[in-house]
Amino acid sequence: MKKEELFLAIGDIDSAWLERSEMPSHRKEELIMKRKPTRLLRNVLIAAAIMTILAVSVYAGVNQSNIRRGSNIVDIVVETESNEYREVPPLYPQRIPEGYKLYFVSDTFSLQQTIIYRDIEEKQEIELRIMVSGGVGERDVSNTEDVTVKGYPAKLYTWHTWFNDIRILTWKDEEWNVGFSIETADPEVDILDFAESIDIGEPLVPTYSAEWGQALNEIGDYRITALPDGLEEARFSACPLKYGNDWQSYIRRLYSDKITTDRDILFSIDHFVSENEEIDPNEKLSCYIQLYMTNHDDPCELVTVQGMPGAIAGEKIVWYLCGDGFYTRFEISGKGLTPEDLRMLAESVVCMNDHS
Amino acid sequence: MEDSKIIDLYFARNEQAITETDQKYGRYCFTLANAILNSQQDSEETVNDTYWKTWDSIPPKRPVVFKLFLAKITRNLAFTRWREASAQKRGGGQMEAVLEELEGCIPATGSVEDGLNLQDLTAAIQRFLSTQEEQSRNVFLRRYFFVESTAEIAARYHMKPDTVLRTLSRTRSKLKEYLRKEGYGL
Repeated sequence: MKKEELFLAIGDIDSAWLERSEMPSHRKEELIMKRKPTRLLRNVLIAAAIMTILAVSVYAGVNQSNIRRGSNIVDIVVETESNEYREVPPLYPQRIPEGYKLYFVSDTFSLQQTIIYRDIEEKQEIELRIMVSGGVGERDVSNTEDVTVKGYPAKLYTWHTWFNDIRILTWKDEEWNVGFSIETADPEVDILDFAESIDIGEPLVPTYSAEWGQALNEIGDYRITALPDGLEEARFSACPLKYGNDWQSYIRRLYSDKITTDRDILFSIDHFVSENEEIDPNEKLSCYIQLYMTNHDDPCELVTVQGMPGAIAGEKIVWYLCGDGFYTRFEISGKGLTPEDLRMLAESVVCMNDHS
Repeated sequence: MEDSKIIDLYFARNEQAITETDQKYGRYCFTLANAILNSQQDSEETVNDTYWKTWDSIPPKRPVVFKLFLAKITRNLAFTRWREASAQKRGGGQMEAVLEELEGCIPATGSVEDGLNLQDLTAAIQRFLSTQEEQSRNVFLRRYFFVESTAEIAARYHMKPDTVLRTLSRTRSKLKEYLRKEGYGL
C-alpha cells in the first residue's frame, strides 16, 4: 500500500461522518461560557479570522471567473424553416475506420438520430448525428477550419476539454436536406473520409428497440384514445429501466397527420424509481412548476387528471402518478392546443395492459 | 437555493444548476482544493472541473449530501492535479505533510496483494473510524480528508493545537495497528 492509496481511500468515507465533522464540537458553547480565551487561543482565533478574510478575498476573485473554460463559445445548429413532416432517411457511413465497430443506434423519434462507433478496445468513439433540425449545442471551440464535404461547405471545429481535444465536423447536405455532425477525440480518425462515405443504406435497427416491450411492461402501455381526426401514431420510442441505470425509464409517442408538423401531439411518460417509500405527487408537481416558471412567464393552472394532481403550463398538461418507491410523470403537449383540448386528451388516456 | 432544488436543475439539464452550485458551494470547493494545491489558479480550475464532472454525474446519480458529493469530486481532482504538480517540483501547502503523516499509518509488515482494492481499504478505514471517539474521528477527517492544518482544526473545535497533534498521532498509531491486523502493509 502506498500513502497516496491511503489518501484516496479516505476520500470515499461515508458522507454522514464528513458532515458531522463540519459541526463544531458539542462542547464549544460550554467552553465559551466557562472560560476566557487564553492568549494562545486568542492568537489562534485571530489567525483563523485572518484566514477567513483571505478566503473571502480569494472567493471574490473566483466568483468573477468564467464558469466555462475559454472564451469562444459556439452554438452549432442546423437550421430548418420547413414544417413539412419528414422521416429521417437511413443515412450512415459506408466506410468505417479500421478497428471500429457499430456500437449504438438511437431511434429516429426526435428530429435527430445518433449513431456511435467504438474502437475494439472501447477507448475511443465516433459519434454521428443526423439532424432534420436542431444542433450539436454549445461548444467552447479553440479552432475553426472551413472545409467541404460532398462539395458542401462545412466547418471543422476543435473543442478543447480538460481531458482531450475533440474534433467536430458539421455541414448541411442540400440533397437530403439534413444536417450532420461528427465528433471524435481520436486523432487517428480520418474524419473527412468518414463523412464523405455517408450514403443511404439498409435501415439500422435502434439498439433499444428489442427492449421496448419491456418498457411497456414496466411503465404501462398508456395511449391517448381521443385523438383529433387525421392524427395517428407516427413515431414511438421507449427505454426500460435497465438502460436508464435502473433509475429511469420512458415511453414517447408522437401523433401526427404525416403531412405537416403543425398538428403534432407529443405524449411522454417518464418513470422514476426512488428510494423513498412515500412520495408526494403534489411535491413533485410543485418542483415541476417551479422549474417551468424559471423559464416562462405564463402562469400554470392546477388541474386534476383522472384523480391525479396535475397542471396546465402553456401548451402542455402534466400530471403525476406516485406509489411506493416510484413516481411517473405524464405529459401531453402540442402547438395550438388549448387548455380544454389538453384536458380532453389527458382524460382519454387509457392503459392497455396489466403492467408491473 | 435548497440542495434538492439545485439537484432538480441538474436532472432538468438546466445549466442554472451550475450557477447555483457555484454561488452556494464555490468557496467551499475552492477552500478544499486550495488546501491541497496551495495555488489560486490551479484551485480555480479544479473548481471548474468539479462543476463539469458534477454535470456529467447528475443524473443518474442523486446525491444524498450534495455538499460532500462536491467535496469528494473536488478532492480527487485536486489530488490528481497535485500529483502532476509535485512531479514538476511545484506545490507546497499541507499535502506533503499529510502524505508523510499517512505513510506513518502503513504497517511495515503485512500481506502484499497485487492490485490493492481501494474499496476494501475504504471499508477497513471506515470500520476503524467507527470504533473511535467522535472527536478523534472528526479531527482525523478534517486533517486527512479536508487537508486542514492543525491550526485550522484547533480553531474549529476550540482545541489547543498541541492537543490536535496528539490526537492525530494517537489515531494514526491505532490505524496502523488496525491495518496491520487487517493484513494491509507496504
